Amino acid sequence: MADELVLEATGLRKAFGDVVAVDGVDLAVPRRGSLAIVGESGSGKTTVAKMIVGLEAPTAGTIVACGRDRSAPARGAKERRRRGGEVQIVFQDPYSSLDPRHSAVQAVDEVLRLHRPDMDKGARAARVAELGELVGLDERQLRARPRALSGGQRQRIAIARALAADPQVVILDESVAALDVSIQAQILNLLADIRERTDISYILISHDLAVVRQITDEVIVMHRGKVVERGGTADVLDHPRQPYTQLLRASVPRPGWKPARGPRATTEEGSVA
Amino acid sequence: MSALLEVEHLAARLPVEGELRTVLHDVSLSIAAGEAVGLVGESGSGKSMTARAVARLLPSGAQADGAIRFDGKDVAALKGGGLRDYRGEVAMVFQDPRAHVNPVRTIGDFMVEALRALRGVDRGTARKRAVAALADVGIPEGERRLGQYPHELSGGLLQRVMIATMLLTEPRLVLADEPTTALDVTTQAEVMAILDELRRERGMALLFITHDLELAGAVCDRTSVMYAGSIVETRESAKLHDDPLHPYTASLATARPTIDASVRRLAAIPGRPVSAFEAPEGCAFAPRCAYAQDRCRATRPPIEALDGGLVRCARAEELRGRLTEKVVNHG
Repeated sequence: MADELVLEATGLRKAFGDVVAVDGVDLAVPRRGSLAIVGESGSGKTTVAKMIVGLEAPTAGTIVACGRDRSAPARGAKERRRRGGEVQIVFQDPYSSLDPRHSAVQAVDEVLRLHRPDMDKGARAARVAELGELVGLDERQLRARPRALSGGQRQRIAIARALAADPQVVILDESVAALDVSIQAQILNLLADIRERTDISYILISHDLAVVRQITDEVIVMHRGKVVERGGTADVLDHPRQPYTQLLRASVPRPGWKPARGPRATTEEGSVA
Repeated sequence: MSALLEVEHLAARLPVEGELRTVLHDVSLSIAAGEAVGLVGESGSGKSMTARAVARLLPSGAQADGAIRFDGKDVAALKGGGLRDYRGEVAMVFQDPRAHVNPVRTIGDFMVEALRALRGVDRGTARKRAVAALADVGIPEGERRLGQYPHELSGGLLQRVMIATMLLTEPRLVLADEPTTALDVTTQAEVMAILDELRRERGMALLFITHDLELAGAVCDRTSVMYAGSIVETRESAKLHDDPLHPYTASLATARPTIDASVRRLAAIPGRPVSAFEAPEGCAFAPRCAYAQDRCRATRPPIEALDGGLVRCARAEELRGRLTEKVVNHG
């Protein structure tokens, strides 16, 4: 795609002591694009996400978001805030990612106060209502504490909160994995609607290939810190070329599927986790 | 085949903030020796509570009605030695193995405890059998594993240790409560293959609890779908996905994205799943059902036989064959 890139990472590497969690990862996200990072526990996919948002500093490599370098940690609050306005993240667990004392209104308003100093109280209230409507929360739900809300409703707050900073890129770190099937479909539809109505780009971190198929255009498959396969989502899932991608694909339950003991049953997992 | 486990009109209430809340309502199911039965549902549907009631592990203060019979014996009446024997015959595997193992005791201590307590086996023999059981679930070097602590093992490996441990008492029925939900997909496939193989080789019956309709369909002979504390459909697993009897089953199948194609919009079910105590009068699913009529909201339908399955829907017969059709138009 020749579109403008909103995010580009080159040669990304992260070592924790002797352990190399991420090893030479390149990725690029075009404006309005949607990229999946697929992998299992320990593949390094979440570490990549953390480096992009700035929760971990890369050992090597560069990250450029919206044309600005963010490879080194932000210096000062102003720089951090600016970066927050470019890339936001929605975590997996809506039970632990929200402040239990803040209603949705307070949680979203807090972000607006930080990122939109141009807005007065009235403008912020209007924006909170607008975001509430975008994510499908009614007036009562917006005023309730997270405790009184279901997992799906809480995840809607987390999404509204991320969008309040007007980011160019939202990282969805397993953001629908913990939701019930019927709620997961609602949130996936919501994410598709938001993408249609705004200029936003997504990076979806997921192990769920069906979810990846539904909301991303491109995919990279990670295994032990490295990218083993990349391409268009439909193409990679329909015609996986690498053995690891083929194994992932074959492990997904579907009608007529028979679980099989893989070749690594007695070998690879023998190592200490 | 006579049933190994029979559950009839099971109802359960749990004390929450000083009042008793209904969590199960009229649950009936049976499992024959060697049979695998799936129990599928979303949060609060009562699937775990059903397994806990069968295992006699309901939280304290819970009230249960109805009958649970294992091999003809009334499970509610078991106590002392009888209950201990029962716990050897009916084993449970949980979702999070790390929450069900003592972190400061070795794998060996954990594995032989049940064997020594329930079966009176001496330590040396118990350890030998533990090593053999580890080999059965694909873990080599069992002797070394017995000396390790839970934190030294990955989630998938620890779950296989749990399965090996449960095998030691040679149970006739295994209650597996989301045993692979916390595992990676490739590990899930392995753990499921192991459970499936053991079941076939040893004739163990399996009650497999999951939120994943496809997974239940792949490993179970029959599957029951639960909603708001009741079973709404029981059917041959192979038919559940393509030829469901209940609107809820049909919408569960189509709400999930598939790996083979993306759709413009998923056929999401409006609202959220409710627990038994929140369920309205009449059919519990009616507020979210595309086919609900006034009569659905007026009285709760009984569960009835239809086309070789059981279904709890007042309109099941007239909707026969139309459930998947409508949903396809949706998508």
